[in-house]
Formats: sequence, C-alpha cells, structure tokens
Amino acid sequence: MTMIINHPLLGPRDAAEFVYLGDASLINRPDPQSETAAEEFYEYLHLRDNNAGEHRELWYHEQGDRSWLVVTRNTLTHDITRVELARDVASMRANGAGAE
Amino acid sequence: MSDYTLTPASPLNGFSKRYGDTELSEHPALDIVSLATPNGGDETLNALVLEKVGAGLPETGRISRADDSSMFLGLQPDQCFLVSESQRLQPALELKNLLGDAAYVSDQSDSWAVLEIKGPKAHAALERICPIDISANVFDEDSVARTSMEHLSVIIHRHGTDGYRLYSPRSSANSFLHAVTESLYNVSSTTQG
Repeated sequence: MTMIINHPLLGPRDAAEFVYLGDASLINRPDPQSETAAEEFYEYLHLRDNNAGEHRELWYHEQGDRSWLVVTRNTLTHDITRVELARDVASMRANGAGAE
Repeated sequence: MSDYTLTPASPLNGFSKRYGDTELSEHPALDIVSLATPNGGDETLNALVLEKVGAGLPETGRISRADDSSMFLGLQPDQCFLVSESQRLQPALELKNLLGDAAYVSDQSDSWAVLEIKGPKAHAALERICPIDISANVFDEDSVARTSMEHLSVIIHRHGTDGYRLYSPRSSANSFLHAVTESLYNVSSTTQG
C-alpha cells in the first residue's frame, strides 16, 4: 500500500519519504515546574487514545524538507483529510488558539 | 622547500559517460554553503542577503539566483544552500564575513557529490527512480526538491533545458551513481522512449 501526504509547502509526497512518530498530542509537553508534573508526564508518555476513525498524528519529512507535520488520518480508511505544519499548530497553541 | 601543488580528489573521481546523446558527468567542484536562520531572524537575514549577495532567500522548494553562477536552493524552512561556481578558498568564511551573526553558515562543499545528467533520456532515466514528478510543467527551472531515490537522499533541480543536477551525500555517492547509471542504461538500451 502506498500513501500520498499532501505537504503544505511542497505538495504531494510519497509516504516513504516520511517517518511516523505518533499521536499529535506529543506536541503538548507538560510544564515540568507544575505541581502535578509527575502525573502529567505519566499521562503524556503512556496514555493514548486508540481511535477507530479520525486521528491527528506527527510525521517527520526526513527525506524532504525536514519539517514536522500534523496529519489528520482516518485509521479505518487511511484517508488523509488535513495536513498542517507542526510549527504552525504549536504556535497557534502558544497563542491560545487551543490545539487539542 | 618544495613547492607542491595539490589537486583535490572529487567524490566520484570525475566520472563522465555518454549513453547515446545523453551524458552523465560529475561536477568536479562546486562551492556549497549551508545557511540557517536564527530563531526569529528571517527578515533581518533576508534583507542582508539581498543587499550583500544580490538575491533574496528562496521559499522552500524554490531557487533564487544571485547571478549566472550563484544560487540559493530553498531546501527547508529556515535553511538553504548557497551554491556557486566561484571556487573560493573558504566560501563559508567569506559568507560569514558578509552576514555576521544574522545567519549560521557551514561549508558543505566536500560533503556532496554533484552529478549532472543532460540529454534526451535524462528525464526518462530519472522518472523511474525519483518519487516526485519532475516534468517541466510542474518542476520548472526554479524548482528544487530534497527527496530519495533508491532509498538514498538526494537534492534535485533542473540544469539547462534538458538536464538535471543531482546532489548526493558523499559517503553513499557511489551507490547513488550506480542507481543512476543503471536506470540510464535501461532506458538507453530500448529503442522507444
């Protein structure tokens, strides 16, 4: 099976150029200074939703422009509905626009 | 003391071969300098580069040209290569002197093997091993891409009307050369395009 990821800067690229990391919630690293840091890091590291359906996940364009992407993929159909630069998602979150 | 003249060895030993009217050859010596933008310094660097080098920084996937022999390859957000025929002794140092702290620079000249493929079979040979569309209507003369061919990392852009330039990491350049020669041999030995 081959998948095409429509890179926001470069257009369609073969999935073989990318490396998969996992759930996009990994962007939301907890604050180590927080009082409940131990609990938050436990959840951050070990707890994942295992969706049957739409899933936001991190892909790294290693054989390309070396950018991190947030790809919204349906885990049942492999349909890719949205591709964003992770830096945009992270800065939106930092500006309070509330990524998940 | 004897007056030695040392000639640098190129990664592919000056490889050059013709397959019919299509030629595959190593470019023996290009100056390649990597420029990276410090966090938040995009506009400062762009203005300085425009003033000192004569071309603005390219978008990712695009080329901007300073003159006939120098160009910026936009490889990724916040990083590009300055590629030049000028054969300076210390290209990165000269660029550093022009740009100061506005950019992080490093000399990459000896890290890459540069192949040029030119002629009627160039496109046919590469489209068999290149996962992206490099047809003229989507990949024009100001397009550049980092991708992989035969599992090896490669930078590709057009060079002339019927040719391409390919940059392969020096350490695996012989394997990459093998992939390109094999493909070129395959398309050249058939009678149809």
